[in-house]
Amino acid sequence: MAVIRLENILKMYGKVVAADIPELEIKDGEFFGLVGPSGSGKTTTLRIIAGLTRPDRGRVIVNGEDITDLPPEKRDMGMVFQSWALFPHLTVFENIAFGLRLRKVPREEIRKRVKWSAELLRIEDLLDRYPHQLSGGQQQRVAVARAIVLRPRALLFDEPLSNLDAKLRESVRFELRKLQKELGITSVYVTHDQAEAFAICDRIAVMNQGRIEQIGTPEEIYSRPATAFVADFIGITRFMRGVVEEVVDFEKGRVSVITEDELRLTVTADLGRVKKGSRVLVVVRPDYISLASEGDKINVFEATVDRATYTGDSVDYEIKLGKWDLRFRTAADVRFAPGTTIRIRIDGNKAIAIPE
Amino acid sequence: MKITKEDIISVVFLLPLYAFLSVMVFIPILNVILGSFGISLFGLSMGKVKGPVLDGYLNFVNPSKPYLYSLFFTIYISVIATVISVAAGYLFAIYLTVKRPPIWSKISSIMTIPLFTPYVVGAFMWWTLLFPRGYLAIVINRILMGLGLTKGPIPLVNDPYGIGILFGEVWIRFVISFMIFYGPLQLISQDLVDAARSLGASTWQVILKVYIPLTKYAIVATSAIVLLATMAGISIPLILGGSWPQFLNVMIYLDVTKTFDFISAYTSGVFYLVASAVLGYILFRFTARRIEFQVR
Amino acid sequence: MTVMAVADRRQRLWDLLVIGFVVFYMVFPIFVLLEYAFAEVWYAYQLFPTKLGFKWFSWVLRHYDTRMAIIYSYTLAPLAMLATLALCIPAGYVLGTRRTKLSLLTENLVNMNMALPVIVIGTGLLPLYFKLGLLNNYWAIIPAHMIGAIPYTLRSITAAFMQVPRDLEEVARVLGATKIQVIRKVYLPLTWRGILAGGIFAFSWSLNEFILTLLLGFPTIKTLPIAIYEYVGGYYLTPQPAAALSLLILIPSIFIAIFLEKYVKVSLGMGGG
Repeated sequence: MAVIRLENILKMYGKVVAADIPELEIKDGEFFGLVGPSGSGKTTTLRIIAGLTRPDRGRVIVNGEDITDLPPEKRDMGMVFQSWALFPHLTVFENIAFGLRLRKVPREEIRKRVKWSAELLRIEDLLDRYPHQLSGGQQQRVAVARAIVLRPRALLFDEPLSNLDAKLRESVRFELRKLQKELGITSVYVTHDQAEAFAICDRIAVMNQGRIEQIGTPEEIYSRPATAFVADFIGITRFMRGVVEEVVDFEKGRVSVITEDELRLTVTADLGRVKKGSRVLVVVRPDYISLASEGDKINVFEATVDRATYTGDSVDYEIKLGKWDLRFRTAADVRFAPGTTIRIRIDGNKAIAIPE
Repeated sequence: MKITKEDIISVVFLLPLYAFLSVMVFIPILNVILGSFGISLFGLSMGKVKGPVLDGYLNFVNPSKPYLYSLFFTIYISVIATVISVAAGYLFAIYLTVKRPPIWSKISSIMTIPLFTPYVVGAFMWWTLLFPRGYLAIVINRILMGLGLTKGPIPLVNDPYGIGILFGEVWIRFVISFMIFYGPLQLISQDLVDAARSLGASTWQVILKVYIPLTKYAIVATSAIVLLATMAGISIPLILGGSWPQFLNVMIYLDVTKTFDFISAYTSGVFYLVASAVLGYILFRFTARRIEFQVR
Repeated sequence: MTVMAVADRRQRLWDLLVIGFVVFYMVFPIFVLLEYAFAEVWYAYQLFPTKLGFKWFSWVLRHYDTRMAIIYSYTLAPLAMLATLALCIPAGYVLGTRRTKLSLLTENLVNMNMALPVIVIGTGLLPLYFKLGLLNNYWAIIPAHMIGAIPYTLRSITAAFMQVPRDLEEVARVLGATKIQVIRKVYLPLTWRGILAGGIFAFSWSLNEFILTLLLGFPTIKTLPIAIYEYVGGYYLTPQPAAALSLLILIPSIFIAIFLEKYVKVSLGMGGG
């Protein structure tokens, strides 16, 4: 059980900022995601928590205890690596038992615990094999089994699924979440795959160039992105640029925005960050756009279809609204040819204006 | 089987090499083997002996004769030198792998010094350090006498304990040992080390449980190489060794040039051939396998 | 912040100590050699020489014995190199371009050669040379210098030929090149590095060769290693001439090693046994 805090962390490689985190707290039992593109600092941050990388400044605090100077072998944290890092000269059993043997756990106890861990990961018949005899998915399970058999107070995952094929990744990610909830071990999960993080994490930190842009639940991050980067990173996003004309509803947080090409939208906004006259970007995602029906009054526009891509269960459109390129989707049986003009409606409850 | 023009070229081009090897290597070895039984390939008299006899071998294993002890001394000193060189080379290679000090890349060429130093020069250099007026001799003897371990200065070169030989051999073999280990150690994925650490392994445990098991074959192969080279090399024991005991190859040299006891020289030579064959075979078997595992 | 810096500094200190020790270990013997070679005046009770100069170098040049040793060493070496190359280039061509059973057998035989103690071969060679009246014969020493060089030289040249794509020779032939032209235009440009490296190995080996020359050439043919040995084996108490002689082999060896580094990754242990 662990509460992990990072305070004032800074790590630089030469002039490049690898990680710059003023404050981060991961709650006990939480499945916490660190998400971002390569080079965003997520792996550096994970390694700082693990003790494999020393920060230039700052502290790592677990359950109130400052462990910044503690070497990795004393931190009691299990880690699963992207390459799985299974010891090639040891059997699966010995791989899992590695940490237990280091702690001089009696033989009978080792057997019991390895069996327990292997059963949890459903690899109990593979115990006599060597890593090179296993498939990628099996190796991955061994890596997880090896980390949890020690019942560490925290689990750290460094892109553990990126070497698996897509289908396997989808099924395994849910198993990982199920396992984590069963065991209740605080977990930090690094991935560049936003969808994966969304599927299994309780909260996510979106990182960019070493800094955290936003921390929140998947829902918060999706529907109320704090910055353009976060909005763009998650899902398919398009922006419309404009200025806030006025605040339309103070209670619900609605503003009316006028774009550079004189289009008027009524959208959601965080009134603490956006006010009349602010320059904003309006986040427009495919699911915010629908075909306008007769009674719609606001946020209704005429757009031209640039391209239509049939994807089997739907049709993906790239459309042009004024000077803006947007994307939206319809059911497979609704087909608009390129060049057609259509009437669309942007959902003002979902579309959000964020400061530029 | 058709004989093509290619085959003729192959044979013609290889002929000089084979001719050379036959005359300069195979025939001498044959001579040594036969000579150990008292048979001279060239019809030369081998002293009082007319072959084939087992006198050479009986002589060799006779405990009142120096050969057995010399063989023992050769093996004993070579093993110690091998253990020290291999351990030191391995540990230094590990230190560089684990700590990766940045200064290293600029200095690494210094390590090649013992490699291009001729053996005779290397032996001579250590002689100047260890002879009674040499720096090392002075320092070591001062320390030993200061600690009360010895009453007077002890000889550190041309000595009856092989100390001089050890100094010389280790200086040269350490580098080969280090260089052979460095490559495979670098190839061990850093992830494995990180994984071991995250599972609770201290630095020593990482060496014992990750590095050494994954470089097992390299350790054996290197030990065989160093042992063979140390046993066979003559310059160092000749220059740094004492009047007794001697390395077996020095005995051979003395037999041939001072006492003209050829049959003993040949018999000793046969023992060397056997030892080299055995060590060479071990080496061959182990280098035929993969020397290092790799993680993806 | 300070905690990190302290740990880092402690680490740097360890690094300095360990690497410093190793560097010292490697370099100190050479430093002492230099001391002795350049010591014009060095009193027995002093730690360091009091006057440095080239006295001992002119001494070895003036003395007949040592002067001849220098000449012998540096004339035998190029000759041995050429002879080794003459043997190894055709052989390397075959071994490098045709991977038949014969090639592999030859390679193994030659490599086994490396494991044999030179002294043993020397004792077998002695009666042969005696019978043929080749003892103390300058030209007969050359083959003795080649024995140890061949495995390395052959390997280097074979590797060079192995890197030439097989089809090149065929293409050249098809385009009408004669045998000679094939050699000049196809093989030479691609293999000269390996051949050069192999030749330099042989040169270096000959310079360092000790025991066979001692057995077969002494006392008439004395090379530098033998001259050095004489100063130590005879329990002379003035190491200075030997030091000067040592530098006369060592310095060129250093240049050779540096030269080799540029063409070949690593030159493995040289030596005369």
